Amino acid sequence: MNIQEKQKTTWRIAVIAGIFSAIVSIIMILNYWQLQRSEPLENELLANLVEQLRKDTSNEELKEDIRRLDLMVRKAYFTKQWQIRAGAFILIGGVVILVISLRMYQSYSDKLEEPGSEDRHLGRELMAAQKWIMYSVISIFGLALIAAYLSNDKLAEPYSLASLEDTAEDPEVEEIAIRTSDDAEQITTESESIEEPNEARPLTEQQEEGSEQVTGETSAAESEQEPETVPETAIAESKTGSLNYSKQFPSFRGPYGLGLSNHKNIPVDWDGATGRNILWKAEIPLHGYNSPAIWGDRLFLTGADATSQFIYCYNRNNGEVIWEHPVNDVARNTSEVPRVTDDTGYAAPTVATDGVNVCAIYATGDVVCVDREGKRKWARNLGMPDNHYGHSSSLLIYKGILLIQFDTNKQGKVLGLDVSTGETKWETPRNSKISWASPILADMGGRTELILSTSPQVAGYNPLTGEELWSIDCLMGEVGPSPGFSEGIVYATNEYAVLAAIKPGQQPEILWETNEYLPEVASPVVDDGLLFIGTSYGVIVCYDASNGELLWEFECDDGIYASPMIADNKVFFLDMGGKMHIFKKDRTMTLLGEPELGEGSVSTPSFSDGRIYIRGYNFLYCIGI
Amino acid sequence: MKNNRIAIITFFSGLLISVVSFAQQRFPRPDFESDYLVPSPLAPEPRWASMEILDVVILLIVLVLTSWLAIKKRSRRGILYLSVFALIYFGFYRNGCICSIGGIQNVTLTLFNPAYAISLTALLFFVLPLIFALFMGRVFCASACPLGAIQELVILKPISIPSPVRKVLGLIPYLYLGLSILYAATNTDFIICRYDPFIGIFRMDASFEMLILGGSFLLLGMFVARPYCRFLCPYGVLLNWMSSFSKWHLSITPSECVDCKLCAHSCPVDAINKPVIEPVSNRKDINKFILSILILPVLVLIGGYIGSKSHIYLSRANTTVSLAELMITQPELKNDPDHIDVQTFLASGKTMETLLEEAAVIRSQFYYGGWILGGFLGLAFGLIFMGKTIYRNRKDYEPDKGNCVSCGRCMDYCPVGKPDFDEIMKQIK
Repeated sequence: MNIQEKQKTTWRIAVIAGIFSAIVSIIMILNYWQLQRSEPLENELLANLVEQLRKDTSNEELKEDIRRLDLMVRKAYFTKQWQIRAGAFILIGGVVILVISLRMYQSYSDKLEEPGSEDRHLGRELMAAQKWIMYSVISIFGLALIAAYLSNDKLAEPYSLASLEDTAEDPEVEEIAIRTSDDAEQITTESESIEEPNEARPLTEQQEEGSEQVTGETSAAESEQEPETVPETAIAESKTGSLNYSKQFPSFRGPYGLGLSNHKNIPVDWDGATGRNILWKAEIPLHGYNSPAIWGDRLFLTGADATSQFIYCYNRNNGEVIWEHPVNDVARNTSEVPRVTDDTGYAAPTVATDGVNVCAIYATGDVVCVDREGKRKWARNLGMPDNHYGHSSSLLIYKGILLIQFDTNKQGKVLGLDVSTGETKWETPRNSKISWASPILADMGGRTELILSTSPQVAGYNPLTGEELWSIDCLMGEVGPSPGFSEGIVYATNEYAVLAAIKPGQQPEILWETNEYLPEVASPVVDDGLLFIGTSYGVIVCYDASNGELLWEFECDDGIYASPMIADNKVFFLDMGGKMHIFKKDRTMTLLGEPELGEGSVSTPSFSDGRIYIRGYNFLYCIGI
Repeated sequence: MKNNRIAIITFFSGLLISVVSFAQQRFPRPDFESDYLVPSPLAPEPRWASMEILDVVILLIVLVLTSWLAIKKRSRRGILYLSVFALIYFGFYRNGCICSIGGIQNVTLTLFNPAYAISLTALLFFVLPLIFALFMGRVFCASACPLGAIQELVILKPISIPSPVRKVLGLIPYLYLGLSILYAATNTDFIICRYDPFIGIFRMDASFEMLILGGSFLLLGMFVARPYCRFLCPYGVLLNWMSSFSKWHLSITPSECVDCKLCAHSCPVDAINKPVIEPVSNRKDINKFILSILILPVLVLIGGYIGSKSHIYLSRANTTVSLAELMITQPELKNDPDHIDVQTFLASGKTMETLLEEAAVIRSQFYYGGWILGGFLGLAFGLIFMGKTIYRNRKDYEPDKGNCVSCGRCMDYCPVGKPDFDEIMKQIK
């Protein structure tokens, strides 16, 4: 093949590739145009059929037609999308061939430049360049100036606060209020003995009322129906860690995380199926295994999935959502979403509150603090916890310091953040492995210690400075249960490890050990010389806390993940099926009741004013008489 | 010519292999009969740290090799092969990310936002090409930049753009650089990445509009060489500055220029300075030069003033500012359940006062940023103007160090040092 023939061939290929590419381009443009006009959600025919169905809701044939058409429309939409993408590849192929053939064609017809033909009038060129640059700069600056004078500062315009903040018409807000109210009313009719729930009110109205209470402007009569106001003394008490704190249920497993509640008159009989002694139940919008924290009349919990994180505040008297606070805007150093298992989820840690602040942490490492009205105080990300199940360690607040156990696969550390600002007050690295346990606070004869449990060590820290006070190695494996504490002795345990009674101090020592029955997730609870454990295989055990002697055991049908609680001289074990096993706190076993929730649960129950609050998989229950 | 063909075949073979490997859909089509797999929102997905180091090492190797090929070996073919490799690796394999051009924004954000820290990899990708440009010229543009490589490979019949038009279009990168820094510094947007015309092609997931934009650039690039590099690339501004001082920049001729003029039209990006012998005695030109020096601070002030005045509309690209304005001008939107931005704001529990405060803070950042942006543009435009009042005498054809992308085409045109040089000289004579 000579040069001319090659040139001719490449030209033909170029022409064919060019025509092909042009056709593909036209088809793609048409397809794109069609795609823009065939949004599945805006299909008129489908909308008409749906409208018909509204009038004739029992028409099964029509329902089937709608389903078929909906599927067809969506399939057509996504097929067109796929066609555009596939078309892009074909177009690239066509263009590639076009370019190759044109370059080859050109190479066959290249002619040498005639030297000496260039213009050397640089002066003229520079003059022209100066002129054009000047014109361009004037044009750019001129246009910018015109645009500047044409644009109004709308931020300076007045706006109607009322029109913006009156969200009463917000359909979603209204829906929450009505649904909660209906639920409450429905349950009320089935139970004669409970008090009348408050009327459902829009979210914003309650917020406004709440804020009025803080300023103390409401009358005494009004305040009887409003959520409880936090007295200034309570704020001070929360900062100093005084006794009123222990009357609340401010964190996971109650005050100081010890599993003990001071509240009396706790019911032992209820039935979720019939609504007996269920004062109200409310649906929780987002999933989570954390437990309710309660301060006054407000109950706080969290929910999260891979894309959203929320703190919810309920009125604990009627189950109304007072506010919900999204936590989706915390700056992180990665856009990665943590991988969590279904049995841990994104919101396993329980919030901590001191009546003024409500703090939450999520599997993403986001820590947030809001005030009791749900207004953001601060938020920060501690870095994505390298945790193969999901971060689950709950929070504690002590004397204005938010305590966080942050033991991950990458590193272990414990932090104390200023609860008002979120600034790190102290941070202590820990030579520890990953842990899912939560911290507890222990009164060691006038000195309060922060106690953490992980593999291999159990350690005590000064909660105000983060200084490690003592440490002892006794555990192994993946530690889930938090430590227990009573009368100066720390009780640490984990499945496939041991249950150890530790006497803390500069020379900590293990008083006794046993490994007969060990919990996987539920934490031990200790009071009056009795230590209680619930295992994941459904055995409830009572040990003598002084020597580890097994006093009694009880077998249930389901395993136990929720930590046992002691209140009103009773021990409460909630199994995963939702059955509460209630025993008398005694050296001999006395089963007081086995009421059913009607829904599975792994969350630890919370107590307040003669009521139990339990988070099921889907609903939040208030149980009382 | 044969070498060129081999290079082209190599490139397109690589491209075809890449295309075939991507020919299957990146994510399965939604299958309504079974579970739908939700595609990852991250493209490209994060890499292992060791792989990031590998990227830096590869960049370094490519830069070193290009410098050697351009300055010592004088091999246009080698540079072309390297650009094919860079296109496949940094473009199609690494999906155009990490990228030195976008690195401008990462560096800016690091400087202005204490909550953000640039990764070492991103920093090295930003700094290494600049260091090389300072000593060797724009070797990064020659063969390490995938955006440059894809444009380089489609150059078909480049036309020479008249100098005044080139100078005017050459102002755009300064504007783009200033805006991208302003938007990154105020945490508003990474506009370089958002409007990268080729990223969608590299990732094979371009939206229709971006595909058209990328295709248009490539189509234009057949006749106007490297349109993005010359008339848009903000990183090119920095490289231009650095390269202007480069000591070991490639030269057209390996020894003394014989003034054969063969290279005169060889540069597709019009970056060859012709010999000039003109006196600098013109009084009018000297006056212009002095005037341009005097006008420089005035231009900076005027630019700054106009920039500061522009802060209102410039700040509207920020989502917080635009939302605040929207809430004020269209309060009825709070009842529109389909308006996601407004509904998200309402659900956040934030008050309007807080939103307005945040928007005001951002707008004030734009005000001061506008002063700096305008001042910078005034200075840059003034210096460019000043540069055009200066005559520099030269007797040889020389690469314009600032604008030359070190592609090495001109070296192929130079007969000096070629084995048949004498014969060519006879032909010329």
